Amino acid sequence: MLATALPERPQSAAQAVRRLLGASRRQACASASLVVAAGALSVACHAHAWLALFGAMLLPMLLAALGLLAASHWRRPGWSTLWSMLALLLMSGGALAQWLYQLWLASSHTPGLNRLQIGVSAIGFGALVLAIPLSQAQSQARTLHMAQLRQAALHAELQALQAQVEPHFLYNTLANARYLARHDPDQAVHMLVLSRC
Amino acid sequence: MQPHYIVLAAIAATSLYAVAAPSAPLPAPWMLSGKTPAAYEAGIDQSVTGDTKGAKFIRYTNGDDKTWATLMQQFGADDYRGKRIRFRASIKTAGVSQWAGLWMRVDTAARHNASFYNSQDQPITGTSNWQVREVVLDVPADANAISFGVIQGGTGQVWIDRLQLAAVDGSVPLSVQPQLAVTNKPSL
Repeated sequence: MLATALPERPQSAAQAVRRLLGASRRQACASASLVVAAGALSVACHAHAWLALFGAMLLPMLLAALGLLAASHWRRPGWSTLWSMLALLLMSGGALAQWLYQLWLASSHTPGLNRLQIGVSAIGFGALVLAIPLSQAQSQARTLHMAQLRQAALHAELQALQAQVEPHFLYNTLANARYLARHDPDQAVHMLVLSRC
Repeated sequence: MQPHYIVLAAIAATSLYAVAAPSAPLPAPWMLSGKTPAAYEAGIDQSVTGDTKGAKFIRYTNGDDKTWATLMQQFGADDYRGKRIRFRASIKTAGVSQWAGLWMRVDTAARHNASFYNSQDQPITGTSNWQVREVVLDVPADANAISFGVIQGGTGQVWIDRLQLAAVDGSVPLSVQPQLAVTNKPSL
C-alpha cells in the first residue's frame, strides 16, 4: 500500500546491474563494432602494443560485467553478493589478462608493461569503471529507501492523528446538540438543520 | 555493455601505451656506437627497471645481424686519475644471437687503449635474467678520457640497470682482457 503511494521504488542490486551494465541491442551492436573497429585500425597501423593493452583493459571489465549481468538475470543477488562477485570476477579477469599479455610480450620481443603493472592496470581499470557507478547506484538506493521509510512514518503518524481527531469532533457536536435539545430545543433544531446544510 | 565503456577502455589503453612506450633515442650523453650502430636502437625502459632512472636498453632492429654495437658514454678522467675505478651494473638479455657484456676503456694522450676490458671472456648469450657484472680498471695518471657501456653482438636486446661508477681501493681485483694478458715467462 505504501509502495503505491510513493513515486519510485528503491532499485535492487540486480536492477542497478541491469541498468548500468546491460545494453539495448543497438548499444551492444555499437560496442561490438567499436571493438572491431579499434582492433582493425590498430592492426592496420601495426599498433600491436596498443591492441594488447586494449585487450587487457577490456577482458576483466567484460568478464565482470557479463558475470554480474548473468547473475542478475538468473537470480536476484543482494549488494554484498554483488560486490564479492565483482571482486572475484575482476581478479580472475585481471589474472587472465596478465597471463595473456605476458604471453604476447614474450612472443613479440617488444618492450611493454611488466606483470605487476599490467595486472594492476587491468584490475584497476575494471574496478574504476564498474565500481564507481555501482556504488553510486547503491548509495542512491539507500538514500531513497531511507526517504521512503521517513515518509511512511510520517504517513502513519498523520493517519493516527486523523483517527484521533475525527471522533473527537463528532462527540463534541453530539454533546452540543444534546445540551441544546435540553435547554433550547429551537436552537437545537436550527443547529441540526444548519449542520445538515 | 554500453559503448562508453569501450571508449573508456580505449582511452585507458592509450594512456598506458604512452607510459609503456620506451623513450628512444636515449638522451645524451648516452650514444650508440660500434660497428653498425644504425642496425640498433637504444632507449629507456621503465617496465623492467629496479631503479627510478629506468633501465637502458640496446636492441637490434634491422640490417646486418652479424654485426655489433654498443650503448656507451664517455667522460673526462680528471676525477679518477691514478685511481682504480669500477663500473658495475645489472644486465639482462633477450635473444642475443652472439654475445653481450659490460665494457670500459681508459684512453691516455699517448695510447688509445691504455686500459680495456670488454667481458669477452664471460659472454652473456641468448636470454638471461638480471645479473650483476662489473669491470675494474686502473686509470693511469695521464689518462684523459674514460668510456664505458654495454656491447651487444648480433640480434636481440640487452638491458642495463642500477649503474654505478666509483673509485675503489687497490685490493679489488682488476678485470683482465684475455688477449692483453701478458705472461712474465715467454713460451720457448
